[in-house]
Amino acid sequence: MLTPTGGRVDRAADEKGGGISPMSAGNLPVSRRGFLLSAAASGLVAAGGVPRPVAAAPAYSGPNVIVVRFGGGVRRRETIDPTGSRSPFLLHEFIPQGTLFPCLEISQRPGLNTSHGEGTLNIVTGHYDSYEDVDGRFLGARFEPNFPTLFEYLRKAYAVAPHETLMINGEDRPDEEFYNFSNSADYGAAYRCSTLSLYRYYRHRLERKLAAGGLSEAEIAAARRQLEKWESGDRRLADGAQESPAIARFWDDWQMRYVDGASEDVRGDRLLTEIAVRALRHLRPRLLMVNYQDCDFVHWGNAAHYTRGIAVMDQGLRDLAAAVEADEFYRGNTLFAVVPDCGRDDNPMMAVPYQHHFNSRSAREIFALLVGPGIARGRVVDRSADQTDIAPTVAALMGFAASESEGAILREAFV
Amino acid sequence: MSAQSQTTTPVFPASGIGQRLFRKLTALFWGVLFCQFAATAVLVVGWTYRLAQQRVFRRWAQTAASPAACQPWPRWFMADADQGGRFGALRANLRSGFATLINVWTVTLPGCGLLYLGWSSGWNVSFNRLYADIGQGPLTMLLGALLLIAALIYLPLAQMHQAAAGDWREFYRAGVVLRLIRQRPFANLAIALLYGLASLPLLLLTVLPGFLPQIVPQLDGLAPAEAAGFLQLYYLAAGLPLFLLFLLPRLAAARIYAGAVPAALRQGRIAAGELPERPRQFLAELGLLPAAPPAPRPAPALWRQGAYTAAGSFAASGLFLATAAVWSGFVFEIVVAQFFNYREAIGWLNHPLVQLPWLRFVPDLPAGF
Repeated sequence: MLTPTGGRVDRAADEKGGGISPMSAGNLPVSRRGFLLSAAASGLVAAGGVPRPVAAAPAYSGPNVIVVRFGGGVRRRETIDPTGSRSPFLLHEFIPQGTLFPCLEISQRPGLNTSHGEGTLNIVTGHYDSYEDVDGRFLGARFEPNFPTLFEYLRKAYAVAPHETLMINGEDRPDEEFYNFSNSADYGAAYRCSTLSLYRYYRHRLERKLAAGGLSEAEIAAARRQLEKWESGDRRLADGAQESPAIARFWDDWQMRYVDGASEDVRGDRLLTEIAVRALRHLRPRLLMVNYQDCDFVHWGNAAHYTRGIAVMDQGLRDLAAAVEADEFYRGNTLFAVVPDCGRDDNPMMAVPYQHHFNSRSAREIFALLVGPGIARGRVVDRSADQTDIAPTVAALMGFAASESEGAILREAFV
Repeated sequence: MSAQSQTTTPVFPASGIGQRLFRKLTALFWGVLFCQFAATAVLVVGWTYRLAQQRVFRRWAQTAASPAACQPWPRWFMADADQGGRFGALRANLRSGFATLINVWTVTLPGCGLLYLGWSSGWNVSFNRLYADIGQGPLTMLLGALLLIAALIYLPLAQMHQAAAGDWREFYRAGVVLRLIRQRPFANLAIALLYGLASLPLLLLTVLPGFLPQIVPQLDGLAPAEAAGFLQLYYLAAGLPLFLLFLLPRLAAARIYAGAVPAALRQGRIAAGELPERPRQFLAELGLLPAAPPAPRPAPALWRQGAYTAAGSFAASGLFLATAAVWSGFVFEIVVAQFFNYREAIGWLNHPLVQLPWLRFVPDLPAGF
C-alpha cells in the first residue's frame, strides 16, 4: 500500500515503532535538487528554510539532547571495557549515571560500510542505507541521507530555530557538512540543522574581512577565490542557505575571544569541545551533536594517536557534562547519548590491531550510553541492540516520532 | 674484506640431471627456510649473489662458445667447487651476504630512513595540528623517495659488478657501473619493471594478514598466541614465493650485466683495466677482451653529431625518466603496504626484495590487546 508520500508501509518497521519505510529518494517523483530549486524560485527558501505558519508547530518544552559521536571509530575495549579503557570519565563517572548498552552493533548487511559517515547517518536517521559520494569522488564521504535526520524531525514537530539544532564537525572532515539535512521530500533543507566547524568559522571570518573593506585588490581577489572554492564543494551553501544571524553573532563572539590566530591553539577534538561548550552558552541548542574524530588518525600507524584521541574525547565529554551541570538552562533537563560511529578491527596479526578496514566483526561492535532525566541510573542492558535504535529512542525522549527510522526504541533505559 | 683473487679459470664440474635437480630442490628448501629469520636471511643474500656470479661467468662462457660444463648451484654449507675447506660454502655465503647487505643498506638506508621519518613526523604534525610545519612530512618523504629511487636505479648492476668481482669495493665503482647502466638503458628499464612486478605478490603477502580474519571466519577472534602460531605457518609458506621472487630479478640482472660488459668493452665505454681482476682474467681466457682499443670512427658532420647527440640524449632521458617512474611506483608500494599493515620501522627500513629477504612479522601483543 502506498502512503501519500509515496512510501510503502513496512510492517516489520511498523512493529518496531519505526513506522513507514519509504522507498529511496530516487523513486520519488521530485528529486531533491528539483525541489530545492523550485522552492528557491518561488522565494520560499530563505535563511533557515521555509517559513512555517506560526501556529502550526508548538514551542518545544522537552529535554535538551546532546549526542556525542564517540569516534571516528573506537573499540569497546578502549572505552567501556574496564580491563582496557582509556576513557576514565566515561567508564567510572558517566556510565554509572545512566544506562549502558554494551552490545550495540551495526547490522551486517550487503552494501553497508562500517565507517564514519555511514555510522553518523545511521545514528541521526535511524536507518541503514548505502551511500556514495554525491559527485562520485574517490574516497569522498559527501553523503546525502535519504531519510530524515533527528534535526529535521524535531524542527518539523516543534518551533525550533535552526541555531537551536546544531551539528559540530571536525576540521578534517568537511564532507560531514553534508549531513545536516536529507533528501526527504517531507523534510529536507527547510528543517536543516546548523553546522559549526572551524571551516565555517574561516568562511565567516573571510566574509567579514571582505565586508569590512580595506583590502587590496589582490587580497579581495584571493578571498573571493577562496570563498568560491569553498562554495563549489558544498552545494548546500550554493543553494542559498546562508548562516543565520545567531550563528553570525556566535562567530563574531568567537573571533573576539580568540583574536585572529589564537584559535589555532585549540585544534582537533579539543576545538569541538570548546565550540560545543560555547554553543551551549550562546546558542542554547535543544539538540546538539558533537562529531569527535581524532582517534581515527591511527589509520596511519601510530597507536598513540588512537589512545590519545580517546583520552581527548573523554575529557571533552567531561567538559560537556560539567558545562551542562553548571548551566541552569541545561541542568536537570539534558540528556546525553554517547555512541560511536563505528568500531575498529581486532586483529592480532597486525602490530596495530585496531586498524580499520571496514566491515569486520569488531568494526560493527559498538556501544551506547544514555544519561539524563528519565533514564535509569547504573543500568546495563546486556542484549543485542542496533545503531539505528538511537534515533527513535532520542525522538521518543524528545517527544516526537522518528517515523521513517527502522530502529526500535530502547525502552529498557527508561525509568 | 679482501678481494678474492684467482689465477685459474673457475671449474664447473659436470653432474647428472638427477643430481642437479636434487641440488636445486635442496637449495630451494634451505632458501625458503633461511628466509624465515633475519639472521639466516643473510645467507640467502650471499648465496644468491654467488649464484649470480656463476650466471655471469656462464653467460660469458656461452658467448665465447666455450665448452663450459653445466654448473650446479652453489652450496649452502659444505665445500663448494670454488670454496674449499669444510663449511667453505657457508663461510662464503656469510661473507658475500654481509658484504652485499652492508653495501645495499649504505645506499638505501638514507632514503628509507627519510621515508620513515617523514611519515612519522608528518602524521604527528597532522594529529597535533602543527600546521606551520605541515610541509615537513611530505617534503621529507619526497626527499627520501628521490634518494631511494636513485639508489634503486644504481643497485642492480652495481650488485652484479660486486658479485662478478667477488669484492665488496667494486660496488662503489660508480664510473664503471653508470657506464654499464647507460650501455643497457632498455634492460635497466626492464629490471625496474621486473622488480615492480615481483614486489606485487610480496605486497599482497604483506597486507593480507590485515584482512584474513574477514576472509577466513575461523581466524576471527584468535588470541594473540594463536594468531602468532598461524602467522608462523603463513610466513613459512610465504617463504617460497619470497625466495623465488628474490632470485628472479637478480638472475635477470646477472644476464644483463653479462651482456653489457663485453659490449661496453668492444665499444670502448670501459677499458679492460677498469674491470676487477677476476672477471678480467676470465674474459681474457675466453678471448672476449678486445686486443686493442677500438679504432676511432671518423667523426660525422657537425650537424649530424648535434642531431645524434640531441636524439640520443632525448631517448636516454626518456628511458631514464621511465625507469625512475617505475621505481617510483615501487617506492609507492612501500607506502601502500605500510598503510594497510603498519610494520613499524622495519616496514620502512627493509624491503624483502631489495635488502634482506625476510618477510616474517609476528606482532608481540599482550593477551588483552
